[in-house]
Amino acid sequence: MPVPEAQSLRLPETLDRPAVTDWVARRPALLRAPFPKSLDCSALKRVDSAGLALLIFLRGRGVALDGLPDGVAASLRVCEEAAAGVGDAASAPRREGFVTALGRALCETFAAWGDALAYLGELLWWWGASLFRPRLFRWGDFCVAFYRGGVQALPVVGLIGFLLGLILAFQSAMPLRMFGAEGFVGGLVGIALVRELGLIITAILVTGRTGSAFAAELGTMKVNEEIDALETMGLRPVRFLVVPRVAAGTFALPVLALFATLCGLLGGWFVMAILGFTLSYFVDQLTAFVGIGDLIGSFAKSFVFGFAVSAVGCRCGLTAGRDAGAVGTATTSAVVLGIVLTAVLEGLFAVVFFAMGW
Amino acid sequence: MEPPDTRDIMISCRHVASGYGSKPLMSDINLEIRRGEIVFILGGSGCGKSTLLRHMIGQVPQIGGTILIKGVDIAAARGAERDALRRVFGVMYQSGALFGNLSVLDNVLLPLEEFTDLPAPLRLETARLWLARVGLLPQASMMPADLSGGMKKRAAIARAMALDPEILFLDEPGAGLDPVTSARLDSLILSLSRDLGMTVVIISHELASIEAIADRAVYLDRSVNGVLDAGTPAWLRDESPHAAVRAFFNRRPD
Repeated sequence: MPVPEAQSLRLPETLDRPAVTDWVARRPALLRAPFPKSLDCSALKRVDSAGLALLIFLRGRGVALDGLPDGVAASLRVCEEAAAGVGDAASAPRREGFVTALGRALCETFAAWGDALAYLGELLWWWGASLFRPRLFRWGDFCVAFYRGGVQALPVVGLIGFLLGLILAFQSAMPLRMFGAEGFVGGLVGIALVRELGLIITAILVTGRTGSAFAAELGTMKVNEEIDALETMGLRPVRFLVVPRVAAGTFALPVLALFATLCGLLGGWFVMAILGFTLSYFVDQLTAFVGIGDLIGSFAKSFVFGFAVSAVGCRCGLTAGRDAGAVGTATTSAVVLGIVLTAVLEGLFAVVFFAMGW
Repeated sequence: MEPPDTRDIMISCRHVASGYGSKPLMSDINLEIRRGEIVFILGGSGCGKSTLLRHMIGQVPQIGGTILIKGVDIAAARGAERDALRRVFGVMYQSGALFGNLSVLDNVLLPLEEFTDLPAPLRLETARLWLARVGLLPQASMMPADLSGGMKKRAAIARAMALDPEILFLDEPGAGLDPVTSARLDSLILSLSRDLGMTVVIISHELASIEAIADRAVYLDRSVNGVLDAGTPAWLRDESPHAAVRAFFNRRPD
């Protein structure tokens, strides 16, 4: 309900939060320019912080507060003195120009690449050093990480591998049958799984399961200042935490990839058996199409994938921020980077193997 | 003899059995806190001071007895009544418990945005007023992770004060702070209490703070399953009939 202007600028006796809300709601123009010249405060007895905020807001915009009682004036003075000397500039972040922003972004990108390279170097250095001095290697951490990231991952990797082989065989058997070529399903599944798919699906699973776990674990340690404590004690986090985990990942992934491939072949054979082919026919198919070279190449790749995925996971954990959201961010980037890296490495290997005539 | 205290009773604990689950830490806590008082709750480590605080703010229900906040049983209050009761007090947790993804200013603005219908400019002005009051206006746009321990606690007080509570609960305000910062925090608490007539309940055993600002201290002890002694700091130090309390205040082993 609009209020006549003459009495509208007389403040009520109590100016607490509900009163302010109500009083301002009935005068929608009050908080916008043009502001009134003065406000009659003579009735005012009690204010809370919302009331003081209203008075400060209006006084800051040139409104005279007439007849302000001493008690309220004193409270107002305390607040204004506390705020004195602090301009709005202090709370508003300074905007930077385009060139500055671009330069900063470039510098930060280069610095990040440099840091990543340094991390890789340090990781390889400590791993190499522990080959010569096994005392440097944390066997306990390695075993725990291998058990959690390798042994405990066997069921899910086996299941996904089996389903992959099953689906691959079944989906290719249908069109191949139109050409009477369903006998070649075994060769198709074998080549696909052994050369590429068994490894890729395992690498992605390990990224999501183990790489993210490393990132979350190290990220939490970072938030709890455990990483700082290690550094203060003169222990390198890379040697102490990263090397055993990356070693576990590097050795677990080949085993898992091999297992996934075997389960996939089992799935493929399952479909072949339904189509009426014997096991010996399936094995003949496999040996005819899949060479030992394919197996060795894939096995060699899997070490690199295992290294990359777990090193990225640890790196994301180590570079995590310190607030509550940091661990979540670190885990997300570990998974995303791990999967991207898997794809990039897969492409690189394809080119290299092609050049080598493999 | 002193005249009887006629101020309103803000918090009243009657035969409270405190603890988690079914095993009480203490089974018979009785105390009353009146409007405008600054009361310290003391006791040895692990005696259940923080647990009692959690009972008082309704976060963990006590095992037995009743806790009345302004005459309302906080454990029994439900729905709107409980929400209204929660608006009566503000809490500062030991570590500050600021939300890490919000700036200091946004932390203080949050309760104002969620619980009031104030227009946006006045919400901002209120938040700035509290930040100025705790001396953090220059840090308003910083993130909590970039603040020092003392600043975090002051920011947490500003957030707790945003809705003008009648009671302020503080869990170990001086812990981990240097004596000067701790003393500054004490004078902030004192001025808030004196200027606004606010009731302040502090869990702490910083002797310096107790002597500087406490109106009363309540000493909890498991040997008596509740309040061993209560009174002004000077009285507890010099005249308490309990050796343990005198030893505590005189910084002497038993």
